[in-house]
Amino acid sequence: MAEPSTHEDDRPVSDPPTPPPADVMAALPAVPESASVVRQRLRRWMGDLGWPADAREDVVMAVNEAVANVIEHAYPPAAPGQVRVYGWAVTRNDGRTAVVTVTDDGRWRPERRDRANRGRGLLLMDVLMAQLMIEPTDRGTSVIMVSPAAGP
Amino acid sequence: MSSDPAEPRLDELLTVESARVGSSVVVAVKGEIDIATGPRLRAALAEALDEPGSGPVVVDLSKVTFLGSTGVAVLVDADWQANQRKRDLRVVVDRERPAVVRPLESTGIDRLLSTYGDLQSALG
Repeated sequence: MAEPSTHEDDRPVSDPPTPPPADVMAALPAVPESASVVRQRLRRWMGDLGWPADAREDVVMAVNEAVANVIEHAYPPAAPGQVRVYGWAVTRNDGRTAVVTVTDDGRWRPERRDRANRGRGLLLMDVLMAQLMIEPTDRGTSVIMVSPAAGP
Repeated sequence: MSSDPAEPRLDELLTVESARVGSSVVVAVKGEIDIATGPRLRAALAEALDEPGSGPVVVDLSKVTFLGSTGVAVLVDADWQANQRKRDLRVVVDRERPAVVRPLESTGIDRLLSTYGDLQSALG
């Protein structure tokens, strides 16, 4: 990436560097073992940012639920697809929040045999996050969650 | 993005050990209960509930560092199985661990289960 050049008012500035798509990313096969990889990456990312531990674990727990849903429900058992997790730290007036998306490309709609547990996962996400949006389309689903603002 | 260390192996992520203590079977759980490791806990609890005898099965979660809805479902199912077998399922929860207390309280499952603050009181 090009370093921005020092400049005075009348000198041109080089183009700002292209930002990566997200602050933290994971694109993994939607298999059970991937859930812990996602948790580990989130913990490291938020740990590096000095996120308070309780707030960090709430985000990890909520994202884990969305990832587990993809692993269990997005794809037919014989053909697991991908689960993609992107996260951003966003600074607001009232502190810092984590915005995390969990996306799959699944079009398979399984029988709802474990309704009770599916409800628990959604309930946990809803309780732990300030905002939760679930966007199903015929090309896959995105879950977008916004954590409560945490102090610096 | 820096590269990650090697993925944790599942047996490093969770250990489950069962032992008889008096008339009880204690299933001691350490680590993270999630969609990958949950089945192992499920199997250990089913085995403990199948053991002959009528003493309680004590699930010790005091060293659990992560509990997702998968784990909550395992506990709910084990509680149901215990009822079916007229056995007592006791769950040890360290009240100082939000990682375990939060999911149990948020889902209301702490009110379903017989919970104890430490192993000694669960064995008492």
